[in-house]
Amino acid sequence: MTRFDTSGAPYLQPATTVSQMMSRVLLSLVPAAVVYTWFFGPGLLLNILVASGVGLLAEASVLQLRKKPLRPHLGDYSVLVTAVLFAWCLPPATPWWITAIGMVFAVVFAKHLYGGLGHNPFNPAMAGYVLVLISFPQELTRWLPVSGLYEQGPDALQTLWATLTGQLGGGLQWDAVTMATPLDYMKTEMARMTTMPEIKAHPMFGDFAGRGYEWVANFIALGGAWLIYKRVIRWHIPVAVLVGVLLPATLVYVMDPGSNGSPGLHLFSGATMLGAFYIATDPVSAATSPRGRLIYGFGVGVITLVVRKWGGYPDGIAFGVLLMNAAAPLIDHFTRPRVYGHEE
Amino acid sequence: MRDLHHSRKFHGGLKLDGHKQESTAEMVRTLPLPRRLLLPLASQAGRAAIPVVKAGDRVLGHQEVARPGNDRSCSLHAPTSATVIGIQCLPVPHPGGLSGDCLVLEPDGREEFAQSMPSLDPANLDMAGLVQRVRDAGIAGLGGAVFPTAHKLATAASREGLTLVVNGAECEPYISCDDMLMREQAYEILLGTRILLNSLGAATAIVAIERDKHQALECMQAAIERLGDERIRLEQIFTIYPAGGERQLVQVLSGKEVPENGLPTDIGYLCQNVATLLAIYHAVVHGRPLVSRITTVTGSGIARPGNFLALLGTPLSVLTEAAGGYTDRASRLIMGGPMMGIALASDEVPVVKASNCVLVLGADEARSSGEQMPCIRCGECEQVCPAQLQPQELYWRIQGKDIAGADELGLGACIECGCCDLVCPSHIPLVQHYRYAKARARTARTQREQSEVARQRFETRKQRLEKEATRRKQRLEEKRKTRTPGEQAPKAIKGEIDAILARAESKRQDGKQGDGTS
Repeated sequence: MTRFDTSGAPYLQPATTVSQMMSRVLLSLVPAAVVYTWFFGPGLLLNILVASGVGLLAEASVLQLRKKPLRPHLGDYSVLVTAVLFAWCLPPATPWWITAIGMVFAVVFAKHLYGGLGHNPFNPAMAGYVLVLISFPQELTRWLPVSGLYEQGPDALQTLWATLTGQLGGGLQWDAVTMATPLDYMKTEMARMTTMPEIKAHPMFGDFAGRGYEWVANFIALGGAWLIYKRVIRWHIPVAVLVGVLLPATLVYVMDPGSNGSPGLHLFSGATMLGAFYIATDPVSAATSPRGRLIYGFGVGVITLVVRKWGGYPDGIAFGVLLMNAAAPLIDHFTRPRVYGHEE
Repeated sequence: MRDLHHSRKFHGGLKLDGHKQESTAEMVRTLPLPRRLLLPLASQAGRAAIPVVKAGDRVLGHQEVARPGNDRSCSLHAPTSATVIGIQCLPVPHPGGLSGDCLVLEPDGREEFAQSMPSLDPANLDMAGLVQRVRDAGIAGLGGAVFPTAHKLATAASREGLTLVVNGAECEPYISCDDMLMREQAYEILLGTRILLNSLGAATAIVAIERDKHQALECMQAAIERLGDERIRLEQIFTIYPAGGERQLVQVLSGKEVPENGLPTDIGYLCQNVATLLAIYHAVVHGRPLVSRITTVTGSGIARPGNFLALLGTPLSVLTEAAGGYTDRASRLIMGGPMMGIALASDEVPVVKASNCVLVLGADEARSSGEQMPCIRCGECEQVCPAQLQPQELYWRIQGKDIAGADELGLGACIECGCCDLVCPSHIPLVQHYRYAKARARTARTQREQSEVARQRFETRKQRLEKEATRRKQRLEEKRKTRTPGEQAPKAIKGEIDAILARAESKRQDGKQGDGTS
């Protein structure tokens, strides 16, 4: 007589796995990474390499310390997603130790000290990014110019050298090769009372939101749309973030177009798209109820715009995400849907 | 025929691979008479049935062999003429893999039947008469929940203006017994429906069938036209699991939700499974008790899947053998469907009233246990929950041993459909956690109730004692008051008391002397 296994229902194979979700996130970023490299050189890829290596090493060490099995936790690719998103926020040619410091902080402090995968209240990539942003303000604002514009950026070898040593070889000066991002430029010029039409006359502004950057944003949005189609993420948070940026941006723009960036500029420059589709959608640190996710995303968007307009930093996605992370449990508490058959 | 595909819908649910065609290629097959029939006395609802026969008795087919233990329990009948071997503790279909007392019968092959109950006139059958007949016939809900039908009907009897829902949805994958029944006995199902409509005095019966069951839809439509009863109509519903769950089906048909801790009858709907209605028809018109049912035997672990008419008590091994035996891939044996069925260790357990399906999953179809990751709060579970719960929050509370907290979030509304489990990327066995927590919550509630009763009893006793004490005090007071101070007891009495005291004193002295001498 055959004996059968008696573990409980349901018996069908689960539809998906954590590693499948995470690898789809990584896969969907490939086109945008190619576009980024096309416009800004291989700096991003170097950042990703450093962040991934350090991230995996940090993850493995902490898992060892916590006496957790290595294979399933390294194999869930969550640390790689953190690494790629963190690396994406850094300027290309960021010295490797800065990347490493941020990544170690993200994995060890923001993730594992709170209990590891699934237990971190704050988005690890953003925690790591904000740490290096306020610790290394100079290095973190050295953005490279978009290719094809009058300023010539460092070539691949020079970028590698800069990543390894923090110095530009071949007698190049940082001031000569770096160029502000459109948001950064706008912020500085606004402070000098330049009007928006004058600012936008600068060739870096491209078609609508900054040469190069707008195309990266397009491809990030495309990758995000694919993730929604594949049901890796839901539409709620991305849409809410975009509306959260767009609504106040439109409002201030309509009131005073002379001293405000256009809504389109806000939507397609900086980290708006990356934040909406990839960072705010990190399920672990976001709100979980459908209505909660709308509120959460909207909050991220509004805070981003507030930081951009009135804050000290040109972009605010990281702050928006971290602040709303803190609010997520409260949002969930107040947005629970009515249970079937229960009174309102 | 109305198509509700695009209209009202319940929250969540899953589109699952039906796997129905494997078992619906052939007509319902009959089985050889098994060597032994095992009738478990305990049913899923109510108290265990009480045997009314003893070892060595010869019983006839359709003869009652066990009577209901209480009004939520069901009587059992001998499926065929047989000798009673006795009551033995044997493995039964139970989620915990327990054994239970079974009445063991050995069929004698003569197939002699007891005289059937008198046929009742379906046109003039009141609710009380119908309930009694259904109880006598031992009918329970054949959709899988096996709630005693008599009890369900009795609670519905007092309701006015009910709509009868004939549940032919059969939403769980692989199961096709209701589908086959509707194809082969559509008219008899409707006759059963009409009996219930008449007795209930209900104005409408809605036959609800999933839209991908084309043949069943055709057969039922044809039967409705043939019967020509205007009260009965057919509605196609979309194919989404768990549309056949009572609460979801009512929501699909009416847009209304069954209130918390309530029943569909609270919002005017009474659901009956198609096979149950057929059993009612046979009980009323032919006086025949429930002794058999159609069971689907399917899955890639079965060589020749199909549907079988099985006598209750038939060991599952007889069914799997009749279906060509196991294939090399067979890895899980399940009674019921792949979402809510009961995992069995062996095929020696019998077919019971709840056995709508015997599913043998292949190793490649079944989930492998283990490999659980932490919850990443993705909220997929929340998206598919038909009870609109936040399964992730329930899980966190249960993880934190906060059963009361989970209960507060609506744990009781969970129907254990398994949708959340199937979409969880971390492969957390959520339903098992909920089942455990529900049991704990139930125990806690019972304990609370019991301690409340004990507390009340204690309070009442204390009050009673206090009242008695004050009354005694009062009486004493009153007595003291009626006697004026300084008043002496009457002389006669005083003399008597003195005499008694003297007698007692002398007795004491005697006793002391006695002690000294002996």
